[in-house]
Amino acid sequence: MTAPALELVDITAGYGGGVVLNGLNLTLAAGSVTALLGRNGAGKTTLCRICAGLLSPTRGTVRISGTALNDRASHTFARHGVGLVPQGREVFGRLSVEENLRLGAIGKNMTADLVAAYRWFPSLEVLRNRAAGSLSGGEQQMLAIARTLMGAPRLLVLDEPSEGLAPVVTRVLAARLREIAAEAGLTVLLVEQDLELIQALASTCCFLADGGIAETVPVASIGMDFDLVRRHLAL
Amino acid sequence: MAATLLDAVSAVLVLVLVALGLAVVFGMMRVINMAHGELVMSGAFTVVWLQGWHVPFWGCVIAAAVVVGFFGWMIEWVLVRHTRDRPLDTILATWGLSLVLKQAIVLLFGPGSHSVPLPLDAMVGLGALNYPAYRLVVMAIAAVVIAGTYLFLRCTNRGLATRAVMARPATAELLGFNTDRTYSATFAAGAALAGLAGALVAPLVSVDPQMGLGYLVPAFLAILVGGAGALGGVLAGGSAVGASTSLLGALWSPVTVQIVVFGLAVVVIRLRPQGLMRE
Repeated sequence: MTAPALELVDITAGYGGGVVLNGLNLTLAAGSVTALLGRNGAGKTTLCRICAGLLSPTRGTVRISGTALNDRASHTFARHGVGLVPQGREVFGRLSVEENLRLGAIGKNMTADLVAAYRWFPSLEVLRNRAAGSLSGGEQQMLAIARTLMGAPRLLVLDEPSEGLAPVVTRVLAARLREIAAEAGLTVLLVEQDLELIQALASTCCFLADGGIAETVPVASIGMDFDLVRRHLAL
Repeated sequence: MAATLLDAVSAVLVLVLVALGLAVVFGMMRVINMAHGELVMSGAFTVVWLQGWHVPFWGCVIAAAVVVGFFGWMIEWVLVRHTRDRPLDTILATWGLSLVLKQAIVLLFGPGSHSVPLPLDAMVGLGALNYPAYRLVVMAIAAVVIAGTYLFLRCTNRGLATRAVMARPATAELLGFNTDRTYSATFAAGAALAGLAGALVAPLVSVDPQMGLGYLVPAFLAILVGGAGALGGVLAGGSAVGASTSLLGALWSPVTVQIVVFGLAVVVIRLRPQGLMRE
């Protein structure tokens, strides 16, 4: 039996003594696409940071494909197949688009497959020699995602990928991500506020509240249940 | 006149070589290494020590770069790694280390100065000018090392990774780069460059425990004037500081030159706070 791509067991974490996540449990089956919704400050980014090893939980276990990686450095998580596209994109602004993409593969000692990256996001090929810092928000988001995919992750964590993007760009992004996830058999954890993007990509949705997963529902049910969304997001 | 110009080029290349190690460490790790001058001194004393064992000069130069590079790796591991996020603590720690190194050299070699014989005492004819062959060799080695550093950073995957860690360490970690290992390698490389510079200048200067300061101050000045973080900045700053010091030295006393060069540096920094080569 295939081990879950991600297991968070009884996770407690926070900053400077303050607790953000308290006894959280979350399991993502390999190949699943799960959305995570929650109010501002609920701990969504904290959870992403734990998944990528940028923050160590004060209690609990983080397992990636069955391997416990508590207290390991972030690069170890990357080498175990975790790819985080952080909030705010964090592209290397002074490096070219192609250099950014190559970086995604070097860390894993793999040969950079730029052809695949340009097939996923054709607009990046046109911009290959441009400084990443000069790209638009949408182009930077595509670059950040393509750069992460260059490392051939098994678990892709997307922290608010639609933030600051026009709806039309978000729709293009959703279409690309859907194709890539299906083609590469990726497990995806999508942290997002945009319900349209969630409905386009995810099959399951978890609501984060009070430091834990309050409810898990099929994404198909969200569109009809406004009370559910209102209850968890305080809309 | 031609000899003065060649002396200026020589001064620039040696200064850039010294400043390069400092700039790589500062640009990448944001660590102000106050012991960098003492690493230059350690390179020179490595040559003094090994020559006592009759090791050929060029063997001493290679050994100095390796020994001081290893020493730099240990400094990063034992000292800098634990204070890296606290710039003031790092300055104090490396300043303390510079004092320890100076006193260790005094204990081992005494407070006096030492001389290293020139490995090449021939003169090379350049048209009407005869110029010391060793100075030309030092200039060539410095130019090759500077160009090699540039090519490493620009044209290799490891250099690209180094620039990425320099720009965004947390993001580089997310991509699988072990930033601690990169920092160690960077600090060791910066120290090796300092050791190499110290070994190369050893036959040209008086080797004594206080010599480090004479390299640290102009190297910092070169980085401030040129701008930290970019190799072009080190070249520009090293050229400005090294050439002006050397050329004005042919006209005025060393004290006057220092005052004028510091004054010019203050003007440049006032007008371009991020340095000549800000991006």
